[in-house]
Amino acid sequence: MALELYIEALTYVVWGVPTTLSLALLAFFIGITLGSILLLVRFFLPKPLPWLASAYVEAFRGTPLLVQIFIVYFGVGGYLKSYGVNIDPFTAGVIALGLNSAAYQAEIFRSAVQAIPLEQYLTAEAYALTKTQTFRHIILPQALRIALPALMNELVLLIKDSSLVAVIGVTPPDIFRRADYYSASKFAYFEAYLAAATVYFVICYAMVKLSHYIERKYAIPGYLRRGII
Amino acid sequence: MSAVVSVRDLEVAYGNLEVVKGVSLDVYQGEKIVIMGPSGSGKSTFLRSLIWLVKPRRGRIVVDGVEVKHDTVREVRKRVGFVFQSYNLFPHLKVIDNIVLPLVKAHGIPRDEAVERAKEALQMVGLLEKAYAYPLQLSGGQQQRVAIARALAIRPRVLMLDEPTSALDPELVDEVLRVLEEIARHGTTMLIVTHEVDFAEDVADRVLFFEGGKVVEEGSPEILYNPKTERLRQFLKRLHRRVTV
Repeated sequence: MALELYIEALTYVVWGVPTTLSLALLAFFIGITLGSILLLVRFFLPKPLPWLASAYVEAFRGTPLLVQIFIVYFGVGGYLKSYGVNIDPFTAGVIALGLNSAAYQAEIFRSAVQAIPLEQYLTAEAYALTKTQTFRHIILPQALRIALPALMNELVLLIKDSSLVAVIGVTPPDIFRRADYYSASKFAYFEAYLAAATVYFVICYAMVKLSHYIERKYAIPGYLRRGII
Repeated sequence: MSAVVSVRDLEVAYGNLEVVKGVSLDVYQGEKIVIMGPSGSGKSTFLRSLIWLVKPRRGRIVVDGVEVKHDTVREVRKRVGFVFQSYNLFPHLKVIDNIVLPLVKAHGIPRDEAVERAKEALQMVGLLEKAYAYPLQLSGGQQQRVAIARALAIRPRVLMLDEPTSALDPELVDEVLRVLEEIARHGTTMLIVTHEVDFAEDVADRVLFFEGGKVVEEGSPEILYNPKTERLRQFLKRLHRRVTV
């Protein structure tokens, strides 16, 4: 491996960061929105709607993300093309990642809500709060704190999984696609992909640190946590 | 005189398991009623079912002139202060907000007034200086006193306490009992599930002894020293042995 090539590759692939972060963040917000809707459907709406929400979750959990990206871009995109509607790879990527993330975020929210002791619901009920008030003022603030580490983990996964969108030719190119370009033009595969790995790692590690900071900032005072390094 | 709480033939079941098997009770204004009984006797379930935290299978409950039904249960809950064995404060809210939240959201009281009321209630339980602490920063006894303040702040027609000292370390029990005795002196109507015999003797107007989902003995606190039934005598003997060990 040549150090100069690695450094050159780094300065080249790092320009993919805006695309990678846009893909991941947009997908994350689609995921958080749709995931919350799925949660509300599961908790508040009459059957069979909660079953449909669960079916959605299982469908996206049970199939590979790459297959989902192809279905959205080539499948749905190809179908829409025959009606004159064009979906570019970036949009298709955001939609596929977002729909996929919604399934996982719905699960994160569900487990966080279920982690709140039944006694909290009972107490809110005893004090004449409505179901909506209970959810808004008692359950949600506690559930979000429980969900936070898993949500940040989901964001980290999205940043890494966004590299899959490179295969449908996302423009402007993301980190991974730029690494592809570089390796092909310089025949420097090791340097190029190691540079891509380095950039992904730096972003994800920063996210993990940010997550720890937010967790501490919003921790419930007096709640004893086991020390984790 | 009409009863503040009137219960007729109450039956509660968890699935096929009958827990309360036909209990009737009238609680009058200012009366303090202590409910005792072995674990599994249905006393906690009975208390919870009065405001439909567990929905009864049969029977009639009237609180402050309102019969508990689907469309009245929230109204009834606004007139009852309920204290749980494990305090059940909302850990993410400051002490004062634990008290203010139900006042503002359920009772529609303006925030300023709710804060005043909350402070009054905290004063009564001697914890005004902890108003801006978080529940988990307090001892168990302090948390339970906050829970009592939360119940008092809604100015309930009746205060219901479900084993309020059972989750506490022995040295923390007294501070909670002293607060409850003080509240009792103010003439509040109270329904208390407890095993504290001395407390029952001091404050109770009537003692009910539950077993197997029924009231098997009922009377003045005198029955704690002079039980009529063998069951209560056995129960008190076991309780006494536990205390003296």
